[in-house]
Order: sequence, then C-alpha cells, then structure tokens
Amino acid sequence: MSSAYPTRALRQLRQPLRAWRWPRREHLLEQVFRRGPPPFDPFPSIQDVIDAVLCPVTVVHRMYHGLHGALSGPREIAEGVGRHFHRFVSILKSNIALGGKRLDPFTLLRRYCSMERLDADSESHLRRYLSYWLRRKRESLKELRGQGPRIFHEVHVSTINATFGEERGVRYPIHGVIDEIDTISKRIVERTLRGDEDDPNPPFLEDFQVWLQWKVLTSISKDLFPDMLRNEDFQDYDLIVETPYRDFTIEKDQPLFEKWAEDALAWISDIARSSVAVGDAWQNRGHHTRPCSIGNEIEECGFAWVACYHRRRRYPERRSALHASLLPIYKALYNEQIWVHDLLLYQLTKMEQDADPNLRSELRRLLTGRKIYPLEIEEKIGDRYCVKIIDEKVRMSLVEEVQDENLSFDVIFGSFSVGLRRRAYLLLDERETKPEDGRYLAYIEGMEGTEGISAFLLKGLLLKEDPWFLKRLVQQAVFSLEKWGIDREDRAKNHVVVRLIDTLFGPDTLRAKRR
Amino acid sequence: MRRVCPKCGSSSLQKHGEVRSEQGILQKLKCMSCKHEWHSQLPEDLFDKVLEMLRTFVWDIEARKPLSEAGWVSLNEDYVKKLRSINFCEIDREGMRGRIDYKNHKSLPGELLSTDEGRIFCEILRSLEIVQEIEALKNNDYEYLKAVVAGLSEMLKNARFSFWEVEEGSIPEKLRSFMLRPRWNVTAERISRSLALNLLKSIWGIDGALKGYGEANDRPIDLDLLRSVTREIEESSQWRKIISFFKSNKDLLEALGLSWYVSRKIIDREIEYLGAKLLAFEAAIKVVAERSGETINSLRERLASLSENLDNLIFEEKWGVNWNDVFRLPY
Repeated sequence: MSSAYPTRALRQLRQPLRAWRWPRREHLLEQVFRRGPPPFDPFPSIQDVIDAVLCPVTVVHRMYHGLHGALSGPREIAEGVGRHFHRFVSILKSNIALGGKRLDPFTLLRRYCSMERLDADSESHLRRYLSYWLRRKRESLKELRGQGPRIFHEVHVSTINATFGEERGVRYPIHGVIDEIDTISKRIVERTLRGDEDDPNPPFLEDFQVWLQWKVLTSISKDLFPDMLRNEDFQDYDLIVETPYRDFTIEKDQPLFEKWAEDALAWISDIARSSVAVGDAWQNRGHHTRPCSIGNEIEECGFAWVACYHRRRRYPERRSALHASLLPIYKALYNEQIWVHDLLLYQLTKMEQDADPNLRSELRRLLTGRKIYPLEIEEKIGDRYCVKIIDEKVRMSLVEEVQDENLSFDVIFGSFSVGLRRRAYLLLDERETKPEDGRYLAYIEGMEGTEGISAFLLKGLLLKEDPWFLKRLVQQAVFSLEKWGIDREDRAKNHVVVRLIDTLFGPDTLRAKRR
Repeated sequence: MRRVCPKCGSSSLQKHGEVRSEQGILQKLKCMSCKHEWHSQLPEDLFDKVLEMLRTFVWDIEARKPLSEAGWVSLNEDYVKKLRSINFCEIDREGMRGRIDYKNHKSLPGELLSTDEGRIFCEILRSLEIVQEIEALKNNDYEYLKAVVAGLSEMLKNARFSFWEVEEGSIPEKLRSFMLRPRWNVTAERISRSLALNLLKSIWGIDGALKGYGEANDRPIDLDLLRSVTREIEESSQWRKIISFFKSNKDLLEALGLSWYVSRKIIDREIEYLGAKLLAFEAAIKVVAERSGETINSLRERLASLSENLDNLIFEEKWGVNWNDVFRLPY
C-alpha cells in the first residue's frame, strides 16, 4: 500500500529543468581556478531532495544556514535514537544470519548500549521500540538463522543518471544511503521510528524516500554493482517502510512522486543558481498538499521554529543590518562547500559512470592517492583487519595523511556508485602496521559479507574530506548568532555583545572603560 | 505566541489570578524576572481572536491579497459585541467579520505588539510603506534615477572585490601589491567609488554624482598608486565588456540598483521577517519591469542568469574580478 496523499496539489509545480548544470571537464579535472559561485549545480543527496519536497524553503536554509534534515523524528525522544535503533537492528540481524551465539535480543541491546555508552533514557527508548519491533519480527528472525551475509546495511549509492517523468530526458545526479537491501526476502527497507501504532499510512514522506532510493539504485549500471548484488533484479524488489509497529509496502509506479522529485530538483538548481528564486520558494513554502505559514506550520518540519518562524528577541535592535552583513559570509561558505564537497562527489561518480572512458581514467588518475586509496583486506587478526594499500605509488601519500593524525577513514566495499560504506580506524601503533609497505592494522565495523570485494579508503570521515562540514557548522553558528538575543531591556543595556552589535550596525556608541 | 513583561521584556511569566472587568475576565500575570505584576488588557478569548486576526493579515498579505481584503476573520455575535469596546479593530457587521485596523495599528496594546505575530504584523506594515514609496517612483524619472544611483552605490560599497588569474603573475603587478596590503578594504572602497562613477557616466551620462560616498572613511592613502590601479581596472577589456553588457541591459542594472535601494530602507526600518522583505524587493522588480515594458518573469529570469552571463563575458581573460560578487542582488 502507499500513503494517501491528497491528489489535489495546493501549490504549483516548479517549471521542470531543461537541463541540469553539470561541471565542465576542466572543473572535474581541476584545471580552472575555483572562484565565486560555482557554475554548476550542487550534487544533491536523497535527504536534500526529501527536504525540498517537504518545502522549498529548506533549500534556502541548507544553502545559507547549513541546516539539513528538515524532516524530524518524534520530538519526545533524544536525538540519535533512530540511528542507534537502525544500527542495532543491523547488528542483531547480522549476528543471527551469520549463526552467532543465540542471545536474547534485549541482552544484546544491553551490550550495545554499554558499548556505545548510551544514557538510561536512550536505552529505555530503544527497549520500547525494540519490543514493538520484535512482536512482529521474531518469526522472520528465526528463519534468518544461518542464511549467511545476504542482508546488506548502509549501502551507499550514487548516480548521474536518475531520470523522472516520461517525456523529458533530463538526467540528475543524486547520492545517498539505503538502510537495508535484503536479498533473501527481496526487499529494500527504509527503517524509521516515526509514525504511531494505529497509523494506516507510512509516516509522511518515508514512502517517497524508499521510492527515491530505489530509483537511484535502478539508474546505476549493473557493471558497477559488487558481485553479491550484481545478479539481483531490483525491479522485482518490494519497497518497504518499516516502523517499529508495522511494515508498509510501497508501490513503485508513482507518477506523483516523479513530479515531486522533478519539482524538488528544480528548486535545488534554481536556488543555487540565483537568489531570485528565494522569493519564489518563500511564496511556495510548505508541501504540495500542506502549505505552511505562521501559526499553521507543518508539524514534521524541524526548520519551522528553528529557522522560518524562529523566536524573535527584542535585542539587539540592529539585527536586520547584522543579517545584511552576514549574508555574503553565508554565500561564500556555501560556495566553498560546492567547490570542495559536491565537486568531489561529481568526480567520484563520473570516475565510474561517465560515458567518456578517457575522462573516467583521467579522473581515476587524479583522485587516486589524493582522495581515494584502493586497498585489499589481507587477514583478520582478532576483531581487527590487516589492510594493504594496493598501489605502491600512493602509499606515501597515505603516510603523509596519517602523519597529520587523520586516522579515521570511510571504506567503500564495491564501487562508489554502489558499495557498502564502513568506517575504518587505522591503528598506527600496532606491530602489524608498516606504513612504508602500505600495511595497516585497522578496526573496521560491520565487515560481514565484504569478503573478496574490492575496496578503497576515502580520505576523511563520512565523505567529510577537506573538512567541508566545518563550513556548514560555521554557517549554523553564524545563523545562531543572527537569531540570538535577549528580551530584557536592563540586561540588554549592559550586555557587551548586544551593545557591540548595535554599535557596529547602528547609531549606538560604545565607550571602552579605562582601567 | 509569546507574551513578555511590559516592564523588563522578560518572557518568563506566570499566571497570577484573574481580574473581572466590563470586558470580561482578564488574566493577571507576574514577571518572574522583575516581579512586576499586571493584568492583560484583553480577556483571553479576545486576545486569541486578535492574534488570529494578526496571523490572517500576515497570511493574506503574503498571499498578495490587496490591503482592503487582507486580515478579515469571521466573527459571531458575541465577538462582534466584545470587539466594539476596543479601538484597534475594524468590524464589518453585515459580513459578520472583523480585522485589525491596520491604519490605527499604533493603538494596539504593547502585550500584542510584543508577540511574534505582532512584530511580524508591524514589519509587514513597514514593508508596505516601502512598497508605496517604490511604486511612487514609477512615474517620476528623476526620483527613480536618483534611487537607482543610490542603490548602485550601495551595491558597490558592499561589493567583495576578489580577483582570480589563470596563471600566477597574470594580475598586473601594481594591483597585486595593492591587494596584498593590510588596508585593502579601504582601498577597495575607493576603487568601488571610482567604478560607480565610471558606470554612471558610461550608462546614463551622469557626472559628479555620489557626493560623500567613501569620504567618511578617507584616510591617508597613496593616491597616485590608487589612481593607477583604478585605471588598470577601468581600462581593462573586461570592464569595457561589463559596461557594454549593461549598456544593452540597462534594466538589469536598474533592477539591481533599486533592489539595493530597497535593501537600505529595509535595514533602516529594521525589518527582519523574510516575507516582509520579499514584498519590498518584489515591488522594486515590478517597477523596473513596468518601466522597461517587459514582464516581471522575463526580468527575473534575466536576473537569475546574470551571474552566468557575467562569468561568460570574462571567461577568456587572463585575470579578472569576480564580478558576480559585485553585481549581485542584496538577498
């Protein structure tokens, strides 16, 4: 079944794009000076597209204020519980599938919580959700025993060939992570803690999310799939939104979703291209079926009270001037993120998917040793792995990297287009580690099912190379400063920051005291 | 909705009993910060109704309804009676509806004005004043051009002059040494003044405008060097290309100028709410489009592609200024 969205849209769809603005060859090969607003569109993630479907103003907040992930989970639970729940379920399933010790799931959860040092509240939330989940899943868990590694979690996907709508042949880039691909039951699963026990429909936009993941996955050429997924026919897979209380099967033929995706990508491109589109986004704020305005916000939107209708403090009084001065900073930080992070996503994806074999090999040459380090797993020593950098020429480059104490890396098993993303931590002080030979002892999480698959290290954590995410944090911090203030007049009169802002941006005067 | 203490502005309040009045039962409140006690000027149900009116006004204006139709809320007999006793509401007895009398908004009680809804309502009204001022420029060539010039000078004052070069050493030596000086921002302001004058002269033939521009920041500067650097930019082929581009796209320059003019007014009138700001910016674009006889959409589309067009103009140069950080919209 699918969620029941009203068919009558309340806001007009954005004019679909005639073409996506792709980076030119010289940009991809880093032959031009990086300057000003990038002449290409960002490389959106699945989450960015969902945010843009939720409301086009989220794209503005993403761009200026570094905010992302507007669709929020249940408000009463601590942040990160959803992530831990998904992680725990993947550990539990892997443990059963690989024929591990028959442990009670709650005992395993206790161990997990103590290993992750979760507080009592988070643990009690996890227990509650797990008990709901187990009521439905005990039987299927029994059937899973001894099946081997055939359920894959955290599958990274990236495409430059996603298409939506039948008539237009516009190609879009999208990347993201699929929660679970279950090759036993032939299911793609999006797991969430949102929703209630009695909900007849999947939580708002979760159905769109799993559908979009499937669209991305099916747009990628089979050659780029790792061996264990290459022979799967994903057209036959079921799309499942899994809440602790119920599994919802989502239809694949979704003309409405096709339109939403096109609309969202048009917003992303238009707002990145020019601030002229900011006005349009504000005029069209809200979802297609649920407009948003002050006093009538979309409940699930985490940005409504944080960014759009945030609490307005009386002081400082010159906040408008402060905003005008901060605007170029927001934009500059955004431009840098696109030049650094999004361009790398284009490079890595085009390195595997571009139609031009010369460009593919030139990109591979450019990136190997700078951003990626192909490796092989040599042996397992206890709970750790001995990994070897294959290419002798790039070994020294990794040595330099680890000398800077950057020891955490992402490892992709398979290809960048479709691969299992795992975190690796290099253990430099171990006897087995010999950087000059390209050998490292590493702790790598969730290695089940990765045997024999080609792999490479990606510089930085969670694709956070050349720390672009810090720029996003700076944007968030600057936005917090912009929103910050106090209401009490007596405090404002003596508050240094309030006085400083009002002095710098207004007619106020501030005199330093002589000591 | 958030109430604050009228004495100290704190939002840490506690309900502290009730008071009976002719209007009904009024809420008594106590500020937990300064211990000030007072009672609300409106009964709770009326307070909520007035807030609803404020919200409806904001929604309607943002939905581009005309002022005469904005903010009406349907009422029952009871509310009609109660609202008669307050002087900041307009009541349409026939239609059984009411709204805030926006012309008389200054009589709104402080407890309403200090809510988020009240502040946004006031900002929308201030923005509508700007809209009226901008619309008045439409048929007044002199005032219109004056506003555009003021806006352009504001834009150039706020410009970020950053440079690029294809190969190291392509940027003229004098310019490079100037850029690397610690007081580059002061110099950049002087250069921007000169560029603004050059632009105005080249496009509209205006001479001697921008009196006072940059003079406030006048500090000792190597004037000869400054002149030669400015000449370096002004005589560069890219500046000539920019001038010639704007000569044939004068309306784009006018749209930028008027938007920056509006931006200054928004700052001066302390408007923070994005919806209110956009009302004024939209009015600026509309006036320019109407004066140049084109549709608003086509002007907006051309503004949207301005950055790419400026980039394309100088794509083949050996060095250049990031002109899209100079000729840009203020939002």
